[in-house]
Amino acid sequence: MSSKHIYAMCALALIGMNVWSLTVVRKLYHQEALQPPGVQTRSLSALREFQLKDGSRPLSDLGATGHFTVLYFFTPFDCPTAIEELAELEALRREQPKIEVRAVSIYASPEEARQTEKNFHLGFRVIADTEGRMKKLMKPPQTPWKVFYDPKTLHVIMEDGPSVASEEKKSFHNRIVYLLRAARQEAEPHR
Amino acid sequence: MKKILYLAWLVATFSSGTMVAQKNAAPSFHLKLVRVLDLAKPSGNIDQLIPLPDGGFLTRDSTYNPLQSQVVEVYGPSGNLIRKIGSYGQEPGHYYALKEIAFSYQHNVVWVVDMLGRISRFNLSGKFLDSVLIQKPGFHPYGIALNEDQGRYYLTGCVALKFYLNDGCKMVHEYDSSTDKYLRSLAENDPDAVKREYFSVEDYQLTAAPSGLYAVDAPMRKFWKIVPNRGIEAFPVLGKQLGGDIPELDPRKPAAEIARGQYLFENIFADDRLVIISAGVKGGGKYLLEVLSANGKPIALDVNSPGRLIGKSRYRTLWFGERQGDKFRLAEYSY
Repeated sequence: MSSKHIYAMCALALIGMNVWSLTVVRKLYHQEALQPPGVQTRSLSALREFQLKDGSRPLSDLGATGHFTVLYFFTPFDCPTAIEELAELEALRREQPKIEVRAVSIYASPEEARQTEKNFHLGFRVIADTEGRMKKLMKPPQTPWKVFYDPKTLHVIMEDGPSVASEEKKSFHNRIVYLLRAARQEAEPHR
Repeated sequence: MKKILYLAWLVATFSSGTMVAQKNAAPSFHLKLVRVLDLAKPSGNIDQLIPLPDGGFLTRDSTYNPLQSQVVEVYGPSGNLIRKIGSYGQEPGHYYALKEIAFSYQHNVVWVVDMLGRISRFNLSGKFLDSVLIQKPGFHPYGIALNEDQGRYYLTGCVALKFYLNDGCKMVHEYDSSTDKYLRSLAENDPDAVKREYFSVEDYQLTAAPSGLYAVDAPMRKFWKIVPNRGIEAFPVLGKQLGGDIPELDPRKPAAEIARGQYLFENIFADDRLVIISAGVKGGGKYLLEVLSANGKPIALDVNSPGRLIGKSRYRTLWFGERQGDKFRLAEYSY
C-alpha cells in the first residue's frame, strides 16, 4: 500500500467521522429542542418585560444580540458546590464568544450581585432579583436552574438543575457546545 | 550601711519572688453569683447573649420551630426589650437560618451569621448596613469570632478537603475585616470525626482571646488552640461525666435521634488564662462546664453548670439563662 492510499483512507475516515458526529449532534438538537426531557418547552418572553422595583428592565434586551444564551438562576443559599458552576459558565463564555451568559441572583442585593461577579471573576452580569419576583414569575423547579434558549424565539432549548460534581458541570458545558454547533448547522446546512 | 543594703536586697528579692509566684499561680475556677435579671421575653429562647457597653444586652434566639420566631434583640440594662434587629426572611437585611451573632465594640455593629451563607451587619438602632456572601470558598457558616485589634474575623464551617464534605473539612476561615476578603483556612476537623461519621452532628464553635483562637468540633472531646502564623494544637477534654467518646454514628437515623442523651459541646469561651467549654445533653436540660488552661491543662472538669451558658462579659463574668414562665431569667456569675 502506497502512502497515497494511506492518505486517502485517512481522509475518508475523517469525512465519515464528521458526517457521523454532525448527525448525532443534529439528533441531539432536535431531541432537546422539541422534547426537552420531562419538561414542556417554555418561553422566556415574559422576562423581557420584567421590571425590578427600581423600574429598570434588566432583561429587556433578551435575544437582541442574536446569540444563544444561558440564563442561570440561583440563590445565595444554594449548595456552595453548585454555585461554583458560575466559574464553569464563565469558562464557557470565554471559549464560545457566540454564547452569552447571564445570571440572576434571587434574594440578593445589587451589592451582593456585584460581590458574586467579583468572587467568581465573571465577565457577565449578575442581576439582583432582590425580592424574588423573577423567581415567582419563572417558577424554577429548583435552584440553581439554567436554561439555554434560542435568541430568535426565546424558547428554551434545554434546561437543567444544579450541577454539583465537576463532571456534571463539564457535561452541561459540552451539551451547550454541541447544541450550538447543531443550531449553526441547522441555520447553514451547506457548511 | 551594709546591713541596710542587705535588707533592701532581701526585700527586693522576696517581693519580686512573690510577684513571680502570683503570676505563675495555677489558675482556678470558682463560680460566684453576681446578680439575677429577668428579660421581658415572653416566649422563645436565648441561645446567645452579648453584654453591651451601655449595660444592655444583645441576644440571639435561634428557635427553628417555627423558623419565623428566630430573632436578634436588644434589651436594656433592666431587661426591657428595646428593639429587634433584622427579621426572618431570605432577602438582604433578614436571616433565614440564624446561627450566631457577634458585636464589634469598636464600631458598635452587630454581625449576624446566617447559616445559609450570608453575614449581615446592622447598627444598634437596627439599621441594616451591609452583607457579605460566603462564596469563595463557599460554605455554610456556623460560628464567628472578631479580632478587632488585628482587623480580622474568623468563621467556622466545613470547606471540603476533597470533594465530599463528610470526607474531612477545613473548619476555621480567616477574613480581612475592612475588605471582607477571604485570606486563608486555618484548621482541619479531627480525622476521628470523619472516621466515626460525625458529619451530620458536627458543630464548629470558635472564640477569640488575646492568646489566640479556640475552637471545638463537637462531638469531638477536644479543643483546638489556633495561633495564626504560629501553629495549631489540639487538646483532649477528659471530663468523666461527659461519658467517654461517642461511638460511630449511624447517618441513616433521623437527625433528631443522633447522639440523643449524649453530652455535646455547645459553646466555647476563653480569656487570657482559661478556656471554658459548655456541654449540654442533647434533648435534655443538663449542662456541664469543662475548664482548662489555654495550654490544655485541666483546671476544673465536670463543673455543674447553674444553667445553660449563653455568654461571657469582657470582665470575667459568665451569663447563664433559662426560661421562667413568661420571663427569661439570666444569672451572671463571676469566676
